Amino acid sequence: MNPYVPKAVEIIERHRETDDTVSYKIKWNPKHKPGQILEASYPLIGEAPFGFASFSEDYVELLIRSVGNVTNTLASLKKGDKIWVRGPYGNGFPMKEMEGNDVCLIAGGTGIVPVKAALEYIIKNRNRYGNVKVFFGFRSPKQLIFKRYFKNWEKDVELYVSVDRGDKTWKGHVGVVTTMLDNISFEPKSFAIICGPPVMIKFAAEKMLNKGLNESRIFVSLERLMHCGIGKCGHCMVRNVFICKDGPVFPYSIAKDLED
Amino acid sequence: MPYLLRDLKAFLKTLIKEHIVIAPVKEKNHYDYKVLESEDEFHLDYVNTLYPPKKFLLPYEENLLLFSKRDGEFSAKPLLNKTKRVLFGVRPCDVHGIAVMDRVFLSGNYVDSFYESRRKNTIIIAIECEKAGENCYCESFGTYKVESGYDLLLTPVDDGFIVRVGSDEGKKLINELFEETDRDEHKYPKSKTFKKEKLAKMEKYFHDELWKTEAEKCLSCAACTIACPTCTCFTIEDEVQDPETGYRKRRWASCQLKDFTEVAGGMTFRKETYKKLRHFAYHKLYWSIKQYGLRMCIGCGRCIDTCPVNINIFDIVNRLGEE
Repeated sequence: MNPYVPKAVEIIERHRETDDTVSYKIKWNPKHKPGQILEASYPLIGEAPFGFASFSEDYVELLIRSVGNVTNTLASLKKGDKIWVRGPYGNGFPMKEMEGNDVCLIAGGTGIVPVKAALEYIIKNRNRYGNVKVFFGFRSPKQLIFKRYFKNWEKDVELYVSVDRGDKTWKGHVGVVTTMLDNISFEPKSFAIICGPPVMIKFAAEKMLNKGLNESRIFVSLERLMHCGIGKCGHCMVRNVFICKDGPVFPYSIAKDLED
Repeated sequence: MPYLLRDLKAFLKTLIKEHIVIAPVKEKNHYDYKVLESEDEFHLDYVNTLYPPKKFLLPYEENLLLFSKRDGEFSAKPLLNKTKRVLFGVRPCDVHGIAVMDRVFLSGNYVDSFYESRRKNTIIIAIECEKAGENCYCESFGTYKVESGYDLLLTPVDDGFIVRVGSDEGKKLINELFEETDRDEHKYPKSKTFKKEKLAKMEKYFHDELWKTEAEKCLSCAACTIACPTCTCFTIEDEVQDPETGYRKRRWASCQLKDFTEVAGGMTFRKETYKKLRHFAYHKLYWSIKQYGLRMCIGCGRCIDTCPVNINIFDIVNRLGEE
């Protein structure tokens, strides 16, 4: 099996999420774990790494933010078009290890992608987990991603959403996502899953440490430039670790020392 | 049982007749690997080539997939290079370098099919060195000698070459020019050395100020990673031929260049020059042990030879931890 050869799969749903993001449901069942990654591409345009944004046997959800040539084209595909994929790669969140415990999920911006996959896994296996609190932060009310799912998730978990800057329509919390954690306490044995910009990950992880969580029970999902996804191309190497192959999920006990 | 080969030129002639033979050839001021047209182009007066033979296993630019559209649908065809080639005159350190490339591309959960195809079709004929170069540190790494990874290994002696066979492919090259011998000579020239014992303590030296002061002159030009036999990082991109055909290709990338770590949205990790220099040094000398169970550095000194501002990573290591 040549690992670089992608497979064409059909886009079965397309949603515009925000100004610069769209999401697709694609017809693909690669038996992935929440937190794993994939490479998606379009012929003659190029390839880019993405997180699995869902956990389902029937489809895979992808969130694509237009930030360059490749992602602009990938984001412009229509329902019925083909998109090219290979994967899954990387380790994913240790969902089994978390069973029987409270779980706290924290995401900022597009960091919602792997966290949503973990959340859907938990909801599918709801009785295996204790209290589940979910914290999502976005820049503004217009930047909310996967908003249409929020209501449904609230049936199974406590969902907290904040925006950095509100507007007239916004009735919820205003402030960076970590400010929502301030008055909430957690069982010290709880697990946490965190994904977002590097600064946000650091603040959120430190906050959870202060609340008594063990650093080996706080899992963060890291982002780096990746080209191959299989630990060959070298772009995502930090110290002796390949983010694509050894990660992208690391316990904070390891992630905190991944200094360039 | 080793062989004695008296007439190297005659052997080269038979090789060139049947194979594409790539060997060190003299350029203006240095030697470089070239396809031999004639056995007369090869002279055994080189210490080593300025650039390693890695480009024959991982070309600077390589087409991986051919995309073509038929009936409105694209298909992807992997392009595997199966050209049979002989790398001739490879120095023992570079045989170790190829062993590192093998580890990177052929080990782990995924085998790199494109590298594998080139590698499987490459015969390696190594020749031991009679003298070490100005910036050779093979003594410190033990890479002046090689026990595997070659098809044939030649040791220069007064009356020709002692030849050892390292594989079935190598065995097939033995012809009437070779006579059996029980001579067991080797050529192991002495090179420079550095304080290798410090490598075990590299973790401790990660924040040594020396990385910053040494990096002050570093231009982040990537000459070192281009010349390094074990620097194999690459970038994958698509290239359009016409609206219905194109290639997915890869080309060399370097951790010393700015765009190497730029993620979506423009954020760049490891931006500072000293961090990039340190990343290169640590990967070659320390982290690779944890990743692959071997040190990526083979001590060939090419990063020193090609550095425009004379940075010497062994000299840096020597001085780590000093006041």
